[in-house]
Amino acid sequence: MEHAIVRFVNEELLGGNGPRVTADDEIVLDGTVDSLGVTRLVDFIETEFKLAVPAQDVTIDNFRTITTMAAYVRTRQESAATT
Amino acid sequence: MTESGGTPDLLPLTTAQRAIWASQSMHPEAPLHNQAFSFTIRGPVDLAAFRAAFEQLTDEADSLRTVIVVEDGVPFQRVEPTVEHTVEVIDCSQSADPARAAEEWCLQRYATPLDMQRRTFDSVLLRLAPDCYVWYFCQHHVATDATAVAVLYERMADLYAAIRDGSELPTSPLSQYSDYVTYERSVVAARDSSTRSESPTVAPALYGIKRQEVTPSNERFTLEIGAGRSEELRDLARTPGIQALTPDLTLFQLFSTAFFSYLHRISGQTAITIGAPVHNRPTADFKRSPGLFMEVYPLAVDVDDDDTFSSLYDKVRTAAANLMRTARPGGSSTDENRAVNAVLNYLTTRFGLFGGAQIEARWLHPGAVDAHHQLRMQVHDFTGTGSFTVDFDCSTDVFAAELRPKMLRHFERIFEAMIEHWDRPLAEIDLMNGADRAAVVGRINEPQATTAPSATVVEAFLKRVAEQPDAVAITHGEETWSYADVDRASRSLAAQVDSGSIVGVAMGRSPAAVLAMLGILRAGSAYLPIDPSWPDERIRFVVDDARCSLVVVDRPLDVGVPTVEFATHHDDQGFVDPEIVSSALAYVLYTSGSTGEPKGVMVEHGSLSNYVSWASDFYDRARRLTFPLFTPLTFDLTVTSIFVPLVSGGSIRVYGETSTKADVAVTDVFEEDAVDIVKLTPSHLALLPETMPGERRIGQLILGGEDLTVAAARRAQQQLGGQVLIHNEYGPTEATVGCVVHTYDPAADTAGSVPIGQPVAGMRAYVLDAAGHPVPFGVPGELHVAGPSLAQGYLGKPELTAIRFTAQPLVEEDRVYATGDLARSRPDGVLEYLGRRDDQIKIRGVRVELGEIEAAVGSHPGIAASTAQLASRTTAASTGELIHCVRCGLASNYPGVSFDGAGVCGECTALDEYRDRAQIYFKPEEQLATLLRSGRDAGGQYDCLALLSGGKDSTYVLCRLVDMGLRVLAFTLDNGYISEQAKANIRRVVDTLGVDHIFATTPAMNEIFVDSLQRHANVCNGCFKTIYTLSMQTARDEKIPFIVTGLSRGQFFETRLTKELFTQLSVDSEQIDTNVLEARKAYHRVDDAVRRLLDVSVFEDDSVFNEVRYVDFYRYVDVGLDELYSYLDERVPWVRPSDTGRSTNCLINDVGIYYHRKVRGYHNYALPYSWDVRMGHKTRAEALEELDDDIDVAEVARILDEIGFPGDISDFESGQQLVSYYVASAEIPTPVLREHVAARLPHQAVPTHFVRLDRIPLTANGKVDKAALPVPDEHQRSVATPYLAARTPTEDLLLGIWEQVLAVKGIGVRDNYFDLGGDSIMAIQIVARSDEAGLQFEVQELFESLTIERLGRIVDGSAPAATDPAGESSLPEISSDEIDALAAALQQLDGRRD
Repeated sequence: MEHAIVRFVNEELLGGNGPRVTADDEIVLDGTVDSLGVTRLVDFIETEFKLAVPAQDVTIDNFRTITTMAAYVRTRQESAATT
Repeated sequence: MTESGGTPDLLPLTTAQRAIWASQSMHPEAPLHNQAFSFTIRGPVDLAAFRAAFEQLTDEADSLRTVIVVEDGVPFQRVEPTVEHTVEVIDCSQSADPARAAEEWCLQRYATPLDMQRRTFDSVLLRLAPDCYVWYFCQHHVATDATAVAVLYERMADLYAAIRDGSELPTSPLSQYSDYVTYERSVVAARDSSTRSESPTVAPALYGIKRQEVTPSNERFTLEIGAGRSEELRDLARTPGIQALTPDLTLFQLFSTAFFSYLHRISGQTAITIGAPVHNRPTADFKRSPGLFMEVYPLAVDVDDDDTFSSLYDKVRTAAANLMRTARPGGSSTDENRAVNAVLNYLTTRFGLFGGAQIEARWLHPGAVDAHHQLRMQVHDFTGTGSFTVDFDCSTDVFAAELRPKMLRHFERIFEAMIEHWDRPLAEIDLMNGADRAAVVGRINEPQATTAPSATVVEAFLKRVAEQPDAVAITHGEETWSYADVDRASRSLAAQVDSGSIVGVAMGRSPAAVLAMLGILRAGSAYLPIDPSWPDERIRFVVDDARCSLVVVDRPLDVGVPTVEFATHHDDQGFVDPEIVSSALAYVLYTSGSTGEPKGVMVEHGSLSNYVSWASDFYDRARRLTFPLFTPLTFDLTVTSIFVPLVSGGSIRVYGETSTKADVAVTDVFEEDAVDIVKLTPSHLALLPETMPGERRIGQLILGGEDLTVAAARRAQQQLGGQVLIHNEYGPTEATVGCVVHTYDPAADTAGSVPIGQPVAGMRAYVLDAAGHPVPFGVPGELHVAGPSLAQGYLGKPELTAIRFTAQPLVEEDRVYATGDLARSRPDGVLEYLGRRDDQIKIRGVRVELGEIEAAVGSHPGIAASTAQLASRTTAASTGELIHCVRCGLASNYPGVSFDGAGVCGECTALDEYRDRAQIYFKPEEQLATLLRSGRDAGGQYDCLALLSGGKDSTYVLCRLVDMGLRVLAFTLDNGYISEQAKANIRRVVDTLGVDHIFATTPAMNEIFVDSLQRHANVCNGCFKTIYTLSMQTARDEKIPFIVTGLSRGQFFETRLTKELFTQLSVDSEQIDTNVLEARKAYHRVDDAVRRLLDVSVFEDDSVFNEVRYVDFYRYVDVGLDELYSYLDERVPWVRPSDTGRSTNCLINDVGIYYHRKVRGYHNYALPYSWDVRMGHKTRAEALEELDDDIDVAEVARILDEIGFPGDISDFESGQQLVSYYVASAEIPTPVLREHVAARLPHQAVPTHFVRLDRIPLTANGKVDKAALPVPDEHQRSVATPYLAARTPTEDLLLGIWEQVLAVKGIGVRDNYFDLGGDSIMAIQIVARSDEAGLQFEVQELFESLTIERLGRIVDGSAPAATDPAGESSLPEISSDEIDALAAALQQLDGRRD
């Protein structure tokens, strides 16, 4: 999952050339991805992992790094599976 | 980009570019979109290197080589291989002030628009000193945005440094804009355009200024936030709970919160949408592209009055999240862009060093911006100093020169309050500094020359008695009272009254009443007017509440305390006028508050004298004018008409109460024209005679008590010969009659309401915010008044007095009355009335004043008067738990249904009685084919036309007709919402059967749906009438003698075979057919959307009904459901539809069901399905299941929007609707009125209903009696006829029967039967019940007359029954405004389903 998000950020958001991010880079706080970019990330996550990300979940805690994004997605998937 | 062949490509413009291009094309001469920066370089510049660097930049950046090419009016862009350009160098260093010279040069340079077709940039270097240069870099916005400028700047700086230093050129990081053009085209093409619905936008009237047509002319004001404040803002942004995803997003949200707060405060509007530019560069590549990506998206927030910065921020956060999720390349809309009048541009752009030198970056203001954007706010920190700069770009057409600099000051106050008081309500923010405050307060309360008032009106009157004892003081008919007479008579009453008490005056309007009031005052007591026609309880309440010791009466009246009958011959020996101090009570007036019991307002002599003295100066001007006394004594407006003449030396002409229920003495006043000046309410104006020719004596009108619209003032002035002066006098009873006044100026007061003006002598007025701060000019607030005319308070209600009369230290007043009225001041100090605080309504999120709506409607030239109110929808829904008939399942919320002890409904019980007898209606199957073949002689190609909806019943009909060997033309209306499965069914069926088929369509369908929803609360009626209209035409054109319908047996019972036919009237089959045919003829005469929009020439006379006849298939054929399905399975490839969610073929059906349930309170299929159950065509369980709909509300909203339904779904969700009532000599079509209002108000404020009335009902005081306005329920909504009550015993009887059968209250005798929801079965019931009541007429007579008035005449024999078989004699009688919605009948007559 992390891999897919990393690839999306590097290929789609950052355009494939220049510096590449890793799963633990603080890509939002360091300005690599801006708020509009996060919105694209949310779109990507929704489509890729088939879940709806409500606006109140788009927080710095959930989107600080690609690792935290993946953790968020897993939590959502698990809670969906148990209900 | 060039092809190998060298021919430059033409590329389309992107969405953002098209918006810019379109805007520029509208104002080609204005430099609207010159995006010019000046970079001041603090260091030496190598000119050759600079030129070389820029040349290299143009080679690298395709956007700099882009030109716009217009072919056949369509703009394209082309990237040229090279661009002819050398950086020009201007030397300003020799000027006395080089910096200023450079600035002036820039000013001149960017004032000319760039020619997009030639070159989209301009780049010039200005030399100020050897170590100081200005790089002027201007691009047309079509090729750039702020980020692009930063991209180009950074690359320019790098190239310059490398060339200057002779080092190797760094690799270009720039990506090409043309890539984005291609990208955007592909994503826009791939996007589902329905994903984002455009949000409706209302541009708030900033500072109350409603200017629509403006030029791009614009002025910029700049606020430096400063390092300290900027840091405080960033601290706030770091607060947990405020912090958003990124620091910039947080800051954007904070600036937005301040901006929304500002816009809310300066407009008073709650639903606010601004435009927010979004940089729209989703990927790193695009971030390095030098072109235009920025698009403006709407950011919408609903501000509540009690919002704090904190609560508003939460709303902004949600709105911003929505904005970012909807912002997509190419997703903005030019229309949305133009709909906003305020834009917030939060720029994150930064510019670094240039060749190692410090720079200053300035975004030059071209003096013109897109004219739609009255106010643009820019926030930036271009050089990363950490200190924000806020620019306000203000339209110079909209905002006056003295207002413009203040705007940013007002914003600054809000911005600072946000940082300091995060939890403070927005309504309490003080918008002005001390100087601004003093200026506003001072301008409103400009001092004026005044005459010192007498201590009391008695004193002033006695002076007149001494001066002019023989002058006429009061007249009444032929009766005349001189001043001396009045003196004597009032003394005689005064002698009977104790001083220092409250004495009631329960008298009609007469000279005696005036004498009584004056006498009580002379005795040193206060009078309390009581209307003798009040209910006993109210009189006793008032007498008791005021502790009246005595009541003066002019007829015996039991009021619970002693009364004295007025007599002028009473001995006044010994009466000496006591001295009355100005603080003594003069009168007590009871006002009925909108809630609670009436309260007595205590007015003292000083207050009365202050008003009367001012009014005498202002209106009479020593001319001794005659005033009419024609309004109730209990109304404070009347005080003017009594005391102003008595202290001015003029006279009172008394007009007694009229004998009519509503007192319309005002008409006598104008007809007689025996006075000089009339004090009246705006509502009275509607009662003025249409024309009053000749020289008029009445030269002045004083309007008070209600909002005066410009339309009403203009009309009154015209009616009275154009010369009459019209004064608009504002004042609550609590401030003694009038405290603010304005004389209507036809040249200046042109729209909306006439201003209320400025304070009268001695009085002061303030417009205050919720915390008591005065508000700036144009900003709405609550009107407060102060001064000697303020009442003492409320009798016996010290708590209430303390609430309404308060100290306002911020305006240095000890005692101010809060009027509860909203107002704003103009820069000239004149006050404008904005309505009662509680008259403000919020509909669909938008705040509207009812007065604004009234003014907008009233400005239509055909309208004499209008009023508006928000009314609750009435529904027929019964409260309580639903029960369902145990046999048919009919629900208890169906109007008029009853159940017996066993839970069986009345319809089922009744059917048991007459079902057998009703069989006479049905005919043997064998007759059908014979009948349908009988028309072959006519020579047409077909025997019959079969209506085919594609459902099971009509498909069965078609198959069987073919089986019978008939030549059939199948006919289907494609209403635009037929499901795909149904269409496929239809095609397969007609192909298999080999019959000819027509899919009829009409472009008017959506309008017909809207009309149908409004008339009948469903979509089917409109659809069916369209089917009948178009199929009749086809049949006649094709010479087809029969149209075969698929109406079910249940539908025959439901709509034709009522029990009365068989139990009371014992009719035969032919008579039923006659009834049905008459109903059908009347149905096509109804003036609805179908009649307006389709070609209905075929129905010009009724002859078509002889040429084409309807045949109902199931009248001849009885087939069970199972048999029908198994037949279809074998005969044709027909499948049951599954894509409409029910047994229907139509996707718009849900809209009708949903709407009907909401506005009528029950399911429109309830009755039809119950008949299906009774007929055995459905089980009870199936019917109940199908009626238990799960309707997709979003889809309903979408379709309503698609068909152009006025208003939106929240309208009927809220259960409230906006209704406009108007008086006009002729009916004005609703669409005309709707358009008229829509041109003046936000579309949310356009009334749902327009109801024409004979006159606006008035209270005794002459104000609009809102309670007496007819409730526009869904039946009455289309009954646009003026209400007329029954006038004869016959009409009265008929009216009762109609109300009973139609289940509609408040029917007028001219209301159209079909508009009231009548149908043929109800007609039969009416005939039957009328027969019982001794009134005889036929069903067709009812259909020919359609109103109680005409039916009454037929019954009474005073008009010949219209029995002409062709209907010709009856047609002219049915005027278009009376025949309206008839479709109800044939909806009932015909099917809602297949």
